[in-house]
Amino acid sequence: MKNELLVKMVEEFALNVVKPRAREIDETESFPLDTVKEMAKYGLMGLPFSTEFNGVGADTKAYIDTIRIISKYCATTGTILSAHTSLCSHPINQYGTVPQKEKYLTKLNTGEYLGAFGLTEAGAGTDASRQQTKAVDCGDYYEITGSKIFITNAGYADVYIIFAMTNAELGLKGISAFIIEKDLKGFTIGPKEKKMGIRGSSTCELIFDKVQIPKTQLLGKVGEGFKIAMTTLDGGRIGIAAQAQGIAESAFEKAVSYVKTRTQFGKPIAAFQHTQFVIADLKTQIEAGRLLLYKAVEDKDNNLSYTESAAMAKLFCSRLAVEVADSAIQLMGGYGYIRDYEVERYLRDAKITEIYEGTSEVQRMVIAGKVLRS
Amino acid sequence: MNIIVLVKQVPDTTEIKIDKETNTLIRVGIPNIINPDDLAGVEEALKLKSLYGGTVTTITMGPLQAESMIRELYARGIDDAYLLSDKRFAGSDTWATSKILSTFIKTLEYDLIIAGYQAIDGDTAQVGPQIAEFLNIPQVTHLKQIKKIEGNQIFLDKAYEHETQTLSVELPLLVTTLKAMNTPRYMDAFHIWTAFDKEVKIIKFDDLDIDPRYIGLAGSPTRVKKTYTKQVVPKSPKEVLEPKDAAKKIFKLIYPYMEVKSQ
Amino acid sequence: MKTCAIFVEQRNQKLCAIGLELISESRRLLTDQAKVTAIFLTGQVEQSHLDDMSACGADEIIVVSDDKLIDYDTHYYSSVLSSIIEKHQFDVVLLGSTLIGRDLGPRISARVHTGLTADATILEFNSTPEKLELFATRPALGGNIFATIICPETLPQMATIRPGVFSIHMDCQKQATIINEIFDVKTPSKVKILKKHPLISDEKDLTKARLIIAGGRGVVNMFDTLKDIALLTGGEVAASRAVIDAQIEPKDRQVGQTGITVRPSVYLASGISGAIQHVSGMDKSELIIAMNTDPDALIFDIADVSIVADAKLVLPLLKEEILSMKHYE
Repeated sequence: MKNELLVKMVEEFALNVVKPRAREIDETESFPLDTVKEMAKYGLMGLPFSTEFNGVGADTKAYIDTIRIISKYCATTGTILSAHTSLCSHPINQYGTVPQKEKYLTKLNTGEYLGAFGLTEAGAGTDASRQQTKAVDCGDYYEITGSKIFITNAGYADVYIIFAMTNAELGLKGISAFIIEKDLKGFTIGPKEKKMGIRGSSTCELIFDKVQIPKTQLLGKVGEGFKIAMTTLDGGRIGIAAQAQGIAESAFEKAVSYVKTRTQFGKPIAAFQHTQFVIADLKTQIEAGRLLLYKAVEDKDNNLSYTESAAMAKLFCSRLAVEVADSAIQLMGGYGYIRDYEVERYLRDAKITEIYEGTSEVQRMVIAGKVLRS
Repeated sequence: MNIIVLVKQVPDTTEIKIDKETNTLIRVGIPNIINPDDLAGVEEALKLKSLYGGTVTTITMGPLQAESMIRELYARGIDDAYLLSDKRFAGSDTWATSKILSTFIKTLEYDLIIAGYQAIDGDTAQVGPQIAEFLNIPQVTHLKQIKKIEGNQIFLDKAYEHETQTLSVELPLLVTTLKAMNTPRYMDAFHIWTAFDKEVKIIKFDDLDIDPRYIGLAGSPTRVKKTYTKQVVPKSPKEVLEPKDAAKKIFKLIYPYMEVKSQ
Repeated sequence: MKTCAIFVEQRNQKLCAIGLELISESRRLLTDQAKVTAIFLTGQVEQSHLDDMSACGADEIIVVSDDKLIDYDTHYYSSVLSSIIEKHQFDVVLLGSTLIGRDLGPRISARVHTGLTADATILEFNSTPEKLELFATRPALGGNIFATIICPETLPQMATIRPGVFSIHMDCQKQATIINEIFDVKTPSKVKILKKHPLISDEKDLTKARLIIAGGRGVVNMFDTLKDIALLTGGEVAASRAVIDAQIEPKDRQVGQTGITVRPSVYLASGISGAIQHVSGMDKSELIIAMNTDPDALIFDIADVSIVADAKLVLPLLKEEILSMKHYE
């Protein structure tokens, strides 16, 4: 009942607040600060976290429904929300001390703070272990030097989860996680990347030049960083799968509506069997994506291991999004190619879901690993 | 500030279609919604609460299924809700409905009563003023804006066809609100998640000190003699017309929908 | 004698058409079977007002004039009207379904304990030696059904009637009897009018407009006329994409697949071809009136009223028709 009511609210919100701005956000590559403020006002920035820290106390399903529905109309907004919630709030919730939660999580959940996550470096993408950013222990503070690339919400975030090498000799076990606030001396943001899709999302380089942070900013234990990164990305993957699923559903809806009204050769093109077969195949695939997505959600809400189901959901739904968007354009013919009709944006937006928060290749590594190791 | 808002659950009559073959209403699958003028009233109440403190209590008369609507009101931040529901209330016209509602309202404390101007199913706009009469309090209907409250005076703008009037009125008062007055807030996640933990207090006939002759069909001074579906105007065939005749024909067609302003 | 009373409304001391419409229609329906009484509450009585009511067929006019009645006030008006009703025991009381009528009518029906039918569009009377019965038919369920309402057990039978449905006929020669009643409401009203502001038409949302005056390529140079018609009728102007592309109207006036979807009560489509790109944005309008010089235009497939004519010639004449309407409030 609660979940249904939330879905009802998010659908109304998405239609009235998110959808009308989507095209402009894409065309002008502008970060939708207004929308973020509205999402905060309506309690959407802290859905799956405890009321103890100003969260809504809702479940994963509520959060994922929200990402999926918002992403149907604006993938940029979906990206902002999922990076904030899954990649920043979540690790603080999972690994943070009570003072850290009181200081940061309370404000992240109300949307007063926006969050970000910085793992990727120029030389460390899929091979995330190859961290070059260093965190030197200077007694009562750490000094961070290095850089991160392709960081979502950069420049707008108040809080960044940053991964850095505290002990290079220990390899994976030498990486630690830190909570770094914006505007610290030595912490600068590079220019925004010009992207194929999710063009309103802010993606920048982060540069740390001897940035000093108190010891209290360590998240989790020293050397626990890689584990924090990997478990965080597991959860983040469900969010991305939801984003992809939303794009696929939306593209499909546009195509169905079009084929019912477009007439050629004296009838709606929906009357042609080829069109019908394409629609049937897309529908089946979308249903499969939905089931994979909500299986991962169920696993997480039931406190079961969700690494594998999340990876499968992201792997499948991201490919689905690209293919459905492509098919939708094809079904809409010339109009599908025209930006006014918005479905071409869905294809450009969809592609990133096969890449970020772990490429589809990484998802395959994760799934195969689970299967073959047992 | 104790504010009572009267809220009705109605079918979304803008979605009702007429079956052209049988000339009957297609009511299947019509969703139930919060009456739009009432929702505007809830929004005004919540705004006043954030300015002046106090409580917002909603009262609904209807079948038990109206509880689903009341959850959506809790999901927006109201404090308390009553549902007046009893088989014996069924068949009440506006007079009897207003009698029942005002009898219950008399048992509560209030500074301001907000009702929607008109319900989109009954379309009468009568219940608000009738309740005000039974409670013997002043009324201001068809509001444009609530401006402020100072002590026991409320300042508001009322919209007439020909002008807007700024009024000051002594509380307690009943006002009726219009959908056009504001953009109601959505439900928010915080309130949605606690909405089902709140109580919806059901009030039955036996809970009220009301004369049974004043309720239901028997208590209704008006009766429905007959109903019929709106005749679906068949499409007329193409006509080739002289400009003057075309102008006259179009004028006649649009005349009932014109809102002519005074000059 | 059986009596049908009509509350005759004034705003800022100007008589409203609805009162005269109701007097005319009751006179027409009742002929000599019942008395038609006008009830007029005002600040200052003008002879022209009384003459108009007489000419429409009022047998008598009950007049109450007082400074406190210059502007409508629920307390003063309902007190005066209910005591008149109690004194005269009318069979029927009719009011306009105006903002005043819909504020006053229900208050009276509650006070006097009688039935009130709202916003009727059809009136019928049944006159027998024993009684005068009112059958008032009104739209409900958002206008999808009509219900005929009766008030069998209580008097007066009350109804508010929609303005503009009945016509005014001023062909009665007899002068009505004038009855002056005194204003004697002792308790003051708790409502004070602080200020009056004339109506400025706010920027309306196209999706909320009841009446849309739309133009396409065929009338691309006539948008000034379209705008005038919209202003005069309280409607809104809309356009097809061709007009937007020609930079005649801004994008927020575009109806269609890449514009807005509207569902007004009336959509007047002038010089619009009716291609699906436009039609999909307006085909759910209740009444579609289409004007096009091409008899094969696609717009005629979805229009309820199809007129083959040159909109460029019709629109200026339509504007004249509207301007020449006789003017009450």
